[in-house]
Amino acid sequence: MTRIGPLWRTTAVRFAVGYAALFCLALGLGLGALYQGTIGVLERQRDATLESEVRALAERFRAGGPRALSRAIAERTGPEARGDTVYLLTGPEGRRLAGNLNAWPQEVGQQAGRIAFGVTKRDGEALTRRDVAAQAFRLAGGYKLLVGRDSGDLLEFRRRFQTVAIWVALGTVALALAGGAFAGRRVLARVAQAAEAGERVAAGNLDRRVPRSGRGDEFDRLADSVNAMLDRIEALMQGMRISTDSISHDVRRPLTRVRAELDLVLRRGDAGAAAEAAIGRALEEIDRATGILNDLLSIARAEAGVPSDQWRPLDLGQIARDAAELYAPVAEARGIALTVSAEPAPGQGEPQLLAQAAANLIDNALKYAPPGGGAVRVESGRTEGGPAYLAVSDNGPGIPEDRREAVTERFVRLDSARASEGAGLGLSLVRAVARLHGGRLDLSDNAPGLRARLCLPG
Amino acid sequence: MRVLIVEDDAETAGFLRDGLQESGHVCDVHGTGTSGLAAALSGGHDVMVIDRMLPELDGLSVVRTLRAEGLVTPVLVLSALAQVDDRVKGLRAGGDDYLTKPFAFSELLARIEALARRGAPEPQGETRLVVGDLELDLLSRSAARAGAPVALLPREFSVLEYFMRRPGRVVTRTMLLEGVWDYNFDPQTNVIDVHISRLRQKIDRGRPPLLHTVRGAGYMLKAPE
Repeated sequence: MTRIGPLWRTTAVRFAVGYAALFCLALGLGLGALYQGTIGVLERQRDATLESEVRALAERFRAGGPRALSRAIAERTGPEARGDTVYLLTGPEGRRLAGNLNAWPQEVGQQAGRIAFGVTKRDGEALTRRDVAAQAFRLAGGYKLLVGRDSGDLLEFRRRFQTVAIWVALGTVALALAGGAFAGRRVLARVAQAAEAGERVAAGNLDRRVPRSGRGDEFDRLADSVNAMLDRIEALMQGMRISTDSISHDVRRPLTRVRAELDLVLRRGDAGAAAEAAIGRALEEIDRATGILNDLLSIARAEAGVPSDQWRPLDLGQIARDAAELYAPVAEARGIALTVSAEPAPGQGEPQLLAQAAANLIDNALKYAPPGGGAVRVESGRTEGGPAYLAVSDNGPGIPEDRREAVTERFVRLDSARASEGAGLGLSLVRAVARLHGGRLDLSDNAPGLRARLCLPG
Repeated sequence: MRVLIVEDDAETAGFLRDGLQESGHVCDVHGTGTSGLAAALSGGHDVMVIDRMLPELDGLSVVRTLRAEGLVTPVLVLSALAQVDDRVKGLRAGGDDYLTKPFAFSELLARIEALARRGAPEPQGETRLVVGDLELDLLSRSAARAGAPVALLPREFSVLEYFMRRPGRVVTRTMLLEGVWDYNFDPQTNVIDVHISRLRQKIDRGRPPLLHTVRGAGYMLKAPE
């Protein structure tokens, strides 16, 4: 499978994180409701009890003043009273007047309202620290009243609830992430199988297909539709191969017979000089027709992208040097300066087709460069972006910009009177070879002349 | 030389037989893959020419079966399929050479004669090749004609070496392209002729010619009689 990009962009990771977030939201809502239904209710009950107690005592203060209140408090904190409620009444100077609390708790200051603090309680010999939730209340004349309840059990309950909630949340996130990643990977593995099959087919393994799980799910449907498409591509490719093969076979058979027959007459040497000359010309024409047939079939196959198992790592620089060297004597004989500057240009491809493309480009350049004073330059290397290229430039008449696309079409020649040789398939073949390799053929102005550059993909 | 021809097109097979017989060879002609295979297995051939598309059993299967049976007789595969892949498949199946239709008879003759000779043991570890008064030192990669050194470019040396390993035999342009340049296509311009004329200027200048043109076929390096 090809790398899609940074981790976040992979669907598996996004799937897992989204999954975990959804789980956490659901869990948070559930725990919140549970908290409100248990601890929240207990806390509200406690607060309501405290409030009514404070109100009752305040009523007592209003009716009977501090003395009545002190009495009431003393009753409530007597030996027979339940020990989980604390009271404190202080005078205007802050002195303790009544209650089972020694002094106003320092940590809460003098504020009124709902407060929480801790007290140290004698329980037999042991001193224990208890948490208290209380209501503080300012009475008339600077008196202050505090009524509180030991809420240690409730707080302990809350702490345990929180601890459990945190662990449950952590566990849920971990499970959700793992589950999400697992599910995501399973899903993506099947998508990747489809992608891989497509890539393999594109690279030439025509019989590759997307595996089905057999469960008949959406991925099986995807696999079925991709496979149906691949079947069709394979059928088309094979049809292409069969039709080029049969054209090849059907045209070559009569050509072979004619050629063999003429060959035999010529070899017997009893046909007479005029007939022999005619036969010689006929043989040349047959060979030319064969050459055109070969080029057309090569172009057809290359354009159809009929894949080859003959691809290997190669150096366009070496191919450029070899082809230039093959043509060097021809250039010299025509008085054309052929220069080579071949930098290493590594790539992947079919060496024979690329060599033929290089030879065609040089052949073409030598045809158009002016004899006796022409200059043809063969280069290779890598462009800045990375792809390997092979370029051939000449100082001939060049090709007007609006005609450059046309000359790579089959049988198009700019000036039919100029190029008497060849059928105008040279550049078409080069372009088809470039495309077969996933590259391209660029034609540009060499000022003067034409620069043709074959690029492999980077 | 006894040649087995397995070709389903009767006319082409007939031309092949006539041509080979006129060149002094004996031919067995078969028109189907199965009869061709049976004839091949009966043995006694110096070289075989097998068409790729045959009725009953295709040519490549015939070659594969022969090789599986341990028969090493050189095989030239004749084919109407000219693509690089086809050629590679033909050679991979066990063919020794591959020729596409239509072909020049001289090309076929040169190739099967070269193949038949391949059967004969070629001297190994040679360091010097000599034809007439032309000498090639394979170690120093230098050449001398009648004792006088001849300066050759590396590729010219390879071309000359190809000829000197086949003295007195026809070497065609495509054989040179395949053997020296490793090109399986025909360049549009006849570049080989220009190479040969340059090589000829270097080795034959002012001396009795060694490198001859064989009309309608190719070239031959031969010591003067």
